Amino acid sequence: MTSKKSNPRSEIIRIRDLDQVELDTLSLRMGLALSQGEMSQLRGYFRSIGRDPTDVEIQAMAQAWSEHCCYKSSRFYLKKYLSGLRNESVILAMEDDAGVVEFDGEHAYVVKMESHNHPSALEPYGGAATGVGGIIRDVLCMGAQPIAILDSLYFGDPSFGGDDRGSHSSRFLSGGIVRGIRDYGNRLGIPTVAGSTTFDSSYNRNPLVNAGCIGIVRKDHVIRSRVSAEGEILLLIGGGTGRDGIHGVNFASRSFGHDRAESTRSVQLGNPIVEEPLIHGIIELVDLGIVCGMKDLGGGGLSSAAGEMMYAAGLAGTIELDRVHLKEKDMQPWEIWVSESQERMLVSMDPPDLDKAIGVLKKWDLNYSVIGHVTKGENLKLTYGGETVLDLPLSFLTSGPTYARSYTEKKPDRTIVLPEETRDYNTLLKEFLSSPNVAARFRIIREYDRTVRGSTIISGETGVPGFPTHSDAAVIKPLPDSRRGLVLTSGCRVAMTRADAYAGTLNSFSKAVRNILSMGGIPHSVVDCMNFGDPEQEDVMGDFVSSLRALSDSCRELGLPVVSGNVSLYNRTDETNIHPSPTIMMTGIMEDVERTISQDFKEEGNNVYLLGRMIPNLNGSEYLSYRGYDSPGAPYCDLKELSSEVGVMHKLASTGIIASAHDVSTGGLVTAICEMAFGSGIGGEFDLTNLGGMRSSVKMFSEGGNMILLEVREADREKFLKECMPFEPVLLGKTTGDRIRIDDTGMNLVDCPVSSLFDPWNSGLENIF
Amino acid sequence: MGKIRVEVRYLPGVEDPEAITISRNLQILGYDSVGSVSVSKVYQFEIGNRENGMKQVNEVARKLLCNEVIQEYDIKEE
Repeated sequence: MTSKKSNPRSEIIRIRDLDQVELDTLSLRMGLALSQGEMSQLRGYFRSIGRDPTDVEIQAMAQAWSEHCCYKSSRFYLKKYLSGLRNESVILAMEDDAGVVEFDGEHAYVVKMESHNHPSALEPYGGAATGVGGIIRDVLCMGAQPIAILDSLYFGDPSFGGDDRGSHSSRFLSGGIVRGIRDYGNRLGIPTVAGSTTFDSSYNRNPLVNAGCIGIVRKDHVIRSRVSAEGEILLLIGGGTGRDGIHGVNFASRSFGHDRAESTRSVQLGNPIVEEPLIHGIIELVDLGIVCGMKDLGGGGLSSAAGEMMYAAGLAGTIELDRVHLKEKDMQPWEIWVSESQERMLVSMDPPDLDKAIGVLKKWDLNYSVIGHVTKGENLKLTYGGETVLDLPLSFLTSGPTYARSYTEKKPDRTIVLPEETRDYNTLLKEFLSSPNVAARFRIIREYDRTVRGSTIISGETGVPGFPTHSDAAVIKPLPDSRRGLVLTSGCRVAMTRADAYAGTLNSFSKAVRNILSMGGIPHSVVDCMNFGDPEQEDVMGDFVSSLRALSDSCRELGLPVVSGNVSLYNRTDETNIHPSPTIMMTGIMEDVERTISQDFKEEGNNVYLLGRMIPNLNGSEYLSYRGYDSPGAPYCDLKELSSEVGVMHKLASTGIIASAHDVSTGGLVTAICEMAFGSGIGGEFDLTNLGGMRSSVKMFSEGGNMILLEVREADREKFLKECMPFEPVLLGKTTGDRIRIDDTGMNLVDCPVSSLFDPWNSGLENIF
Repeated sequence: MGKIRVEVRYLPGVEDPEAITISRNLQILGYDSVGSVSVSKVYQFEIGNRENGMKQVNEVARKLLCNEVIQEYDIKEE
């Protein structure tokens, strides 16, 4: 971003006289990323009001109309499929910056997930770090204390070495992204507790960073993302406003072309050292009861935050841009207005409370400026150096176009691919367990502080000392004087969504539900983070719609609300779109964290059962890609079965007879058995004959459906089977010794010491991180 | 044998938390004549062949030492 060296001032843009070609040139020159149609709409508007706009006005409109701010390609379908998905526990869904859901009688949890994909592709460290910073402020601005971070990451093929057009290598990107999340989260003192990591070549040039955050707030302290009355003053608190991140949302609203280097100034710069006291200061202001409305400054900066806060309340306001505290001198007024500098919050309060607020802000060493006030009326007015530089109706400024883009949904393909059976499963299994999508994620999660704040019961790692394995979800105890817990998980089954977006989303949803059930929790609310390619392509839009439809069907069947969400489109470089990647973040509730179930086998001699029907094919499985086959389709989940599982698992968890539980997902049944054994070193003898007439490889590696493995003591057998009704879980075998032995129809498939399987699994990502 | 000095510093406009902390503490300690502070990092390389060495150090600086999104660098022969 270049800026003029002359004194900052606003310019008039003579848009009314421009023809179509000149409009395009203007959009390009000013970095607006608006389409031809949108530019002529703007021209039409200013012709209708009989004057030309200022540069501040044009920049503000471009920002408000960006995909990021107004969801122009997705809004129509989001409304169609996700509106009305709420239940009695929802306090705020899809209204403000984050979802607010009842936790107990007095408290609510606040939850949100957002993508930070485009910045992370250019500058992985800073892009991922500011993704974390931004999501934390989304939760903070509802008045909540952030208590945990989640991240779902999607990296390219680990062997991708970058290209000569400015794309970084997968190792550079993935390493930088993980370090960015680590350095921001750890420095703030908020634990990073759960998430997912997926490797696929469609992310080579477009890695995805989806950061989620959850916070806790007293119900009577929830702050709305809107001003509340005329006369309130607007306080900008936190970091200075600089030139970093200018046009971030505009460039996130188009695909990557050849201009990566020029886009680098669109990346925001994070500074956790400023955000940490900002959290303390804001929470103290909220506790004092002097905050009327609050919004964080994320994509779109002041322009988006201030406009939306006023418009949501049916009010307007005046802002003096020269009052904004800056990082750099000589910033142009439009730059101040659209800057996406980090660590800033906009707060509205009654003028008499200002002194009290200043006391708190000084105590936490926070910068602030009083930038304007709320007025009645329709127009937002901005001044700079005494001159009016923007005077537009908020209804126009925040409207933005809505496109019901045409789409083609992919027809389900029921072709089944079955690779040749292998003779040596012992060798195959060791290699399979070390493949990037199956191997242990310790190299990533051990970078993160997972226990700071002292409220983490289980994070991504569990097992007895010396025998680490992964947990299905994280369990957090948010309140010091209550044993009620939150269960957190997020992820997406990309191997399935790439073949069939509808079926893949069902399976991603089912996995999230089973993750929570396996910890002993009950699913409570859903947040979506939809990452897709170019929405102007009908098949991409078709995948998006399929995915929303699946999410809607799943939530309706299980009675779960979708409380907040995020859409990231244009994840495309040149001709390559990413695979459909709808990240499902799910929050569960656990009545008593002492009843947390973990994934490791607990003792020898226990029975291991499979709950849920196995789908008799390998489509959409990691095993199929590992063997070098593309999946023609993906299996459908039976949502009715999943819904009954919730009831059964709730009963089982409250009786305390589940010794351990683990959902069957990436890598299938055999991987799930191994992961349970890794957590204690206890092996087992299993016989897959009872699963029915399928190939052995299907029984071992099929991933679709709603399967959960359960370890139950022999003494509890009858009680267990009774509680499971109407399910008839299949007895697979018993835990015993330190070897894993798997037989099928009289033939031995696997017979290995647990440790010989653990080593390749544990070291699978060694060459990447 | 020659020596090459690479200095990496933040671009103008990028907030430097280390420099801000130093300057704030200098004010607390009473060094009131010291204005702003900036922090940069200096790398020194010994090279054999002058022309190739310079070329390689340039590449190292650009690819490894400097994050061009937020930093810039200078190369000098000593």
